[in-house]
Amino acid sequence: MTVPKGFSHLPDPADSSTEAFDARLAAAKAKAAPEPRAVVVSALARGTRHAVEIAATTLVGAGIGWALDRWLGTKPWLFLLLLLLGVAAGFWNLLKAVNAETAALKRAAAERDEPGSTGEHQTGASRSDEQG
Amino acid sequence: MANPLEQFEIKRIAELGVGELDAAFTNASLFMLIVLGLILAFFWVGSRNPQLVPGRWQAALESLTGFIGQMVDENIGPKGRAFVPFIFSLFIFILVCNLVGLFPFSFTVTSHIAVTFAFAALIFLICVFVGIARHGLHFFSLFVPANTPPILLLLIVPIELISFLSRPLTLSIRLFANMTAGHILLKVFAGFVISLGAAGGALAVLAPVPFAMTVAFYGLELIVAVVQAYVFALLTCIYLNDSINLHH
Repeated sequence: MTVPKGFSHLPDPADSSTEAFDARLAAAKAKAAPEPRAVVVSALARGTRHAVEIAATTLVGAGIGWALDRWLGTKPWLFLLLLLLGVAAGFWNLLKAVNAETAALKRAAAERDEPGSTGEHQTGASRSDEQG
Repeated sequence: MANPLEQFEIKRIAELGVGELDAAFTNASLFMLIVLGLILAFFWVGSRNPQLVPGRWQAALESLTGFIGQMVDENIGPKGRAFVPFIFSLFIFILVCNLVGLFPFSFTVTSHIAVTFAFAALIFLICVFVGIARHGLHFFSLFVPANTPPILLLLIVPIELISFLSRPLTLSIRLFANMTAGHILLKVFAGFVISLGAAGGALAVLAPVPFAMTVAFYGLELIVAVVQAYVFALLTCIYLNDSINLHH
């Protein structure tokens, strides 16, 4: 079977051996890997997500402390305590986000190394990763 | 040089009062109506002649609704289906507001914290109500992470409480700050082109430099407009997920 003119970039339908198919599949997967631009956009989304959080939790902590101080007449102790807790909350959120992202990256790496592995196998792998 | 903050000024178009309240029709109200009109037009064009193989407008509309549906499925799961219309409305309104604001002489509704905070406060209240409606008082276990030693709870519970209460602030400030900062930057650089050109002589030769910067920043602002609408919708999903699924 001859390939019609203008369709030479398409794979030869006669060549249906599994190796050739695997090679084509790998090439297609490499092509589908995220473009640099897509990576930049998702990094921008994630970065602006976390950047504001530290400032906002600090402000909210300080605000609650200030209000409680005025109400209870304990100036300036609750303000200082809640300001620090606000800073801690900001970094706590950042830490949680970074941990979640690392876990997602590890899962993706495991998926790449062992394509076609079952979900059950994957959770086992990620669990051993955490221990190691 | 023109004042870079002038573009954020609220101008009254028609006076309107509801009882004692001042509800004047302003340029912000006008642009919200324009945005609403554009969204409705987009939906009308995209869905007036539905085909099995979609045309351009139908494909654009379907990929947008599909995108939000997928985002809700990934972040909340099947229980989140009921919130797809709400999150989609938020997303498309903010997206179109951000994009319309990039047209010269237009007004950016989302560059006002009154608007973004109103959205964020609404989302916060919905999260609290949904959480209490679905889980009762058990909802407050959100502030007690699983497997925390009792001693640490003294520290963790206030921290979780502060981070929960700061949600409306982070949500509103992020959108407002991104849009305001970007528009000021654009205006300042565009102003440089005119002042350098008007200065004449050797300085006028430099005028194309800030012009090139304005073009580059315009591209960046287009990305920011889309990304910030996306982040707003995504965080709404994540916050709703906490209320719907509690521990995941």
